[in-house]
Amino acid sequence: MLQNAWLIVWLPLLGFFFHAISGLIFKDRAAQKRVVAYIAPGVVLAAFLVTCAVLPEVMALPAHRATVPLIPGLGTDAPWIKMGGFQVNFALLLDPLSLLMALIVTGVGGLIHVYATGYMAEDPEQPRFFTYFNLFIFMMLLLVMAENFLLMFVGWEGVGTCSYLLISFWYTQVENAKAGNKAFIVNRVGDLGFALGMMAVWSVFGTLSFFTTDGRGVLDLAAVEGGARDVLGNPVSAGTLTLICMLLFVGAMGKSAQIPLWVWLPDAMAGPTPVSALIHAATMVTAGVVMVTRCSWLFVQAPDAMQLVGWIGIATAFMGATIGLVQNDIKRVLAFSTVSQLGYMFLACGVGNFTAGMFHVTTHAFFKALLFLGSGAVIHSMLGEQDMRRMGGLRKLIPRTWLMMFIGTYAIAGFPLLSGFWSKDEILEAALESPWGSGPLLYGIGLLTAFMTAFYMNRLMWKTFYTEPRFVDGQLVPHHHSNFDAHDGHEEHAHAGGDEHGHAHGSGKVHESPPSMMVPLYVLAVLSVGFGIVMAHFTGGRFEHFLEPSVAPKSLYVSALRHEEGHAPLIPPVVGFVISSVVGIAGLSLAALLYRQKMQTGALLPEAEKARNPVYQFLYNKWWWDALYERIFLQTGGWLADRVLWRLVDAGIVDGIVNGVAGAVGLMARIFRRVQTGYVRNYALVMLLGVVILVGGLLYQWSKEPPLPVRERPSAAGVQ
Amino acid sequence: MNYAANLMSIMPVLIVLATGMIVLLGDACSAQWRARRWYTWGFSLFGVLMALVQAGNQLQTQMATTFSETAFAGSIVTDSFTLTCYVILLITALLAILLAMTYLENRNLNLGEYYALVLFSTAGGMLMACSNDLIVLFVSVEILSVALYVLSGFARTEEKSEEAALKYFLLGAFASGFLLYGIALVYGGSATANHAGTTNLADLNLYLINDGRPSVLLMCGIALLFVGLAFKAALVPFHMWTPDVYEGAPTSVTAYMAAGAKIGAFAALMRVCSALAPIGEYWLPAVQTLAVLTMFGGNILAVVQDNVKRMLAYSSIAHAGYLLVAVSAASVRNEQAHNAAMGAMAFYLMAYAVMTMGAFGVLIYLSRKGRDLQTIEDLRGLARTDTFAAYAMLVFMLSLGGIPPTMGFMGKWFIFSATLQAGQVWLAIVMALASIISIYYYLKIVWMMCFQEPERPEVVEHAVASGGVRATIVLSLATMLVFGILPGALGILLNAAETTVFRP
Amino acid sequence: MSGNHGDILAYVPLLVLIGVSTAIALAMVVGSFLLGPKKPTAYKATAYECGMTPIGSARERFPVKFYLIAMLFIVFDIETIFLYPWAVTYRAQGYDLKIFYFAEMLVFVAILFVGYFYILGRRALDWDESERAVARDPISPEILAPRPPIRFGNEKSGPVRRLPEPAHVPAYGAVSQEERIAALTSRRE
Repeated sequence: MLQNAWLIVWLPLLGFFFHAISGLIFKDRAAQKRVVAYIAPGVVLAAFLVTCAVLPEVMALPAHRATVPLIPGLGTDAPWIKMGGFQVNFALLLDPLSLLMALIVTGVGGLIHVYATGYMAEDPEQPRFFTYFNLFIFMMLLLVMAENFLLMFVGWEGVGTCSYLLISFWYTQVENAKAGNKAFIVNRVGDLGFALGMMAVWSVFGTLSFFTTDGRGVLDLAAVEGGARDVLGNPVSAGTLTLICMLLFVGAMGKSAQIPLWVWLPDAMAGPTPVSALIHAATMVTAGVVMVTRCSWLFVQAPDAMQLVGWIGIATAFMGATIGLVQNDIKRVLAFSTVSQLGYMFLACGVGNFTAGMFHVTTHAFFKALLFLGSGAVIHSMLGEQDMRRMGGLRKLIPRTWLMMFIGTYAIAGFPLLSGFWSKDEILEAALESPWGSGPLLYGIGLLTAFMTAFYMNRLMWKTFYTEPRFVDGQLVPHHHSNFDAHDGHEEHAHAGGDEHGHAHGSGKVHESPPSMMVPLYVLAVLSVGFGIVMAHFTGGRFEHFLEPSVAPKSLYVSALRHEEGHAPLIPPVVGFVISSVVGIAGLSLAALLYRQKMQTGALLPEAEKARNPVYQFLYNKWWWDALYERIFLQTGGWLADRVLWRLVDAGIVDGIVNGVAGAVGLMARIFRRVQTGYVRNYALVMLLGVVILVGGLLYQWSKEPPLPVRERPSAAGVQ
Repeated sequence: MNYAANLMSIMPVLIVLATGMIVLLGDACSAQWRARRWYTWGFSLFGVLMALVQAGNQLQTQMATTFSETAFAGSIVTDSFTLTCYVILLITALLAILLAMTYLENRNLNLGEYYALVLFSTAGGMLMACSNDLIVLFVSVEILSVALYVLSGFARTEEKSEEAALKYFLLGAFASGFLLYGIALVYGGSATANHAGTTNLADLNLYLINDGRPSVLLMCGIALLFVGLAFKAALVPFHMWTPDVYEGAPTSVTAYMAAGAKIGAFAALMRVCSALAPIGEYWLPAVQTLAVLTMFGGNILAVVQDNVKRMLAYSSIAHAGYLLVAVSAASVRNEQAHNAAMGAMAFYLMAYAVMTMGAFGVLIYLSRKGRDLQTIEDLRGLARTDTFAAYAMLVFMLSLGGIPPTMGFMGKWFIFSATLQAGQVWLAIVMALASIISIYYYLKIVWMMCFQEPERPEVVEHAVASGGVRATIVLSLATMLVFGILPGALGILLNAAETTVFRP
Repeated sequence: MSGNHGDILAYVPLLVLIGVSTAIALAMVVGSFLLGPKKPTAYKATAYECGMTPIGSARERFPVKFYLIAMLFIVFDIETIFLYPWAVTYRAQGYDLKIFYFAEMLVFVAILFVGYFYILGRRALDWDESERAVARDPISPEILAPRPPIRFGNEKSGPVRRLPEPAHVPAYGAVSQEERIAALTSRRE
């Protein structure tokens, strides 16, 4: 099976090709949609099965690592690009990290595909959706399983493209298209960092492969005893490594929505909900964490970069949580919670506990997918309504969806013994033990963030499910929401942020979602409940051991900074457990207590109060990040582009040069073409002139050049 | 080495020659032209494919053993560079044959000699690539050229074609004289007190390594050798024939001539320059000057052309300049740069062959009964009337201009990086500047096709849009894009230099 | 060079060859002068120029088949010259190599014959134009048919000019050669 691991990547790709041409195969739109709805989840789940089959084989290998060809039939050294010393191969790296991610991508991805077959069933452009969706799975798998930086970069760009395509899936709404552009453009900044980091890696290590059989891969060289070695065997300075790591981290910032490149993620919720669940919560946005973990050998040797990662992480976590406190759109709350949770993951990486980071990636994939899909079910039930201010009382109407959301909320809030609790607790403990100092501060902010997380998640639950319904008698209250106004005139293309189901149902009755949407929720709920306790507790840190071969051992850096002997943890684990539990439960309880008193409105502050409250405005407007960017980049940049670059540089200097050169070229051409008389005699004359000049030139060079030294006679074998 | 082994080492050439002769005989001896039509076309395709298989096999063995063998008393060398050039030439011939049939019929030129002559000149080019002796080189240049002289006058009832053939022949004979004179001078100039001179490139290489300063005679000989080969490769100022001949010759001949002759000439140039590398200081500046002149001359003159074939002729001159940059980079005493440049040249030759055949293929596709597509104006609004042709042409133009994700871009990039490795930074910069000019006239065609309204909006049925022409275009397109995105798949070409004979 | 007599003697056969060839050439000219019948006509008295009309416009059209045959003759003639060096080296070889050499020459001759059969098949040796035209494939009349003039010439080259024959000169083949000559020469006066 190991040699057939290419199937994992190829199956979704084949699915993509199939969907892309399905319009040519099927004349009947309904038949096409039906077939696509089977093929799309089918290929992803098949890839999941292949991954499951490959996993034990890889773990049975002594190094827990295998490199397999990406293109069947070719070797692992089948070059993609080969030029002199620069070679990039078509190969996949199978190790615990890549397989874990492959399992998440295909497993959770497969569930979300199944969900999407229900969610998108009414959309006339469903085949296009699944085309992008399968392509995304392919690109994501390429990203996590790539054998080298360049192939990873291909996946990296590929998922970015798919993200862009899917955010603006309903492209007829200009807001969606703008959100797609925003995501794409902000990500370019990060990608530039990644690309520069990749070039730096190549110039230092002379290769882009992570591991090679002869031990010359980037990570092989980085893991050498006594510090990283460059391609010539010389030690790499800490400064160089820091530069590389910081550049790579800039890439991670973009993809994983960290300060300052986080602004695209909340807007990305403009896409269909399965997209938000799969791409903008469970998989793609964790790519940065995966990449940092993959490069852990480099990062642990660059303490400055590590500290940056940690601080950016905790700052993002805190900021995301505060903004999440005041959002009204159900998906936006979840988006900010994603930003916040990603910050936790980077915090874990920054303090050197990459396994904890990956653990949180895994559990987060489960409960955040659960939450998004649940919110999607809510939106589905509410016929496209996303604003929590117009919900309430849904617990009675859609009890099964409520249960799913309930589990998800308690998991993310860190309710004891649920998945999120274990992973978050591990990160907080690691932060407390930070090898770079200031552990207690990180721990404190982390706890505060956890408290806020629990609060805003339960706020979401209360506003949506418990408070008095803010619509009448199972029928939606007619209102002025612009999303609903659009679809009357345009039956086919009225796709607003969430009204995709608006035209599907004649009556506005709130209803439970179909089984194809509920079954994935049940599976994810089980995982959200049980995964953490099984992996972290019952099996005695199984997860950590599983990932060990893929991450840098602590000995690489801890020994350099701290005395290992006699070091006791600042607080015993049990105390940490209790603190985490208390904080989580406190956050949940506070929300419940406050909202219990506002059953009627479901809002703590009246609208008029909100407009006056500066703190509220500060949070509601996302700490004024967008305004700041607008001021800096759009206004200043616009002025610069208009006045300086265009009018002065472009129109004045560049155009002048270009037109001048073009004029000169044209003039020369008109002169030279006179030589082209069409007469053979003239041609021969020109040739003869050329001969004279060539001979003369060679002889001149000959007279100028000093005699060459007589060299040693080479052996006869060398020259035939 | 026994006789069988000698013959085996040039087996692909022999297959091509034998096919040519059989086609010729069969064509002359069968009366029914309808039968002949398929016989000549099909059999020459078959022969080229056989040769391709044989060359591929040999290449595979060669890569496995990395053993370069000489044959015929050292006058022929079969190494992976040779075999790579075989493959490229054979692919060119394949496309030229695929292109030809309906086109020739359309112009009432459906004579079996076309295929035989293409095969003979292919054999000549292949011999140029494997010659290790200046005499063999000369003979193979003549085999290539004579067939091409006839081919360019193939439309014998058209004055333009006759004029092209005559011009090509006269100037070609002129250049051959220089080449032969150069060989004689090299022979005389490489004589020492104890030994007669040599025309064998390996011996010459050895002589140059051992004796420091070359004689005046040798320098003159080298200069004249360059003249002879520069004519074949159409380097400025030995390029004057190119536009007239390319314009006058039937388009399928032009396509073949543009690619095939250039491949042969550059293979030979690379061999000669590798042998002369030990005294590179003496002649490298001249080659670099030629390269600069060729790049700028070709590109600048292409800018003002209105005739597509003439424009492509000038563009082919410019491409010869880029290839000469690779030759220059291969002639330094730096093994890594040498290898990189050899590989880059092999890649670029492949790219150039495919994109040229493709571009001319589109012109053939668009030519109407009895009349070739002539001016750039004829392409106006093509994207509306014939989307396939327009977008194929678009890709070929982008590739010729060196824009990703095409093979032309990768090829240029490889040459560029090899030149930098060789330390010839200024030459790389000049090359980049020259190719900027080229973008203008390639995009002019794109602009005419895609951004102009057609004169007549209806879709035109093109007379020559046969399966063979379509196949050529599609094959070229696929090669262009696949290897433009996945250049590593052509790794064989890039490794071509690893077993070449001479070390500078 | 040692100044040995033997070296100079080696050139004696050359001298003999020169002498003999001169003698034969002279003998042929003198012999025909002495032996040939002498019945001059006006046409016979004109200078012999390889069958061409000696007087008249140099741009006159004439059948190409004469040159075709002459060219083919030269090609085959020159190729047979390769037999001579081959024969010399052949004699110097041992038995086993002789077989190889012989086979090589067979290949050479076979290739020569390919060319020969080609020109036979193309009927390049058939003198009669009508016979050739019939034997050609049906496409050939089209090939041979005149084409409408096309725009021609490069940047500077004008069209290739072909001087028209004077109106009073009858077309080739319409009248006898003598009458044509007469017409052409009369124009010169």
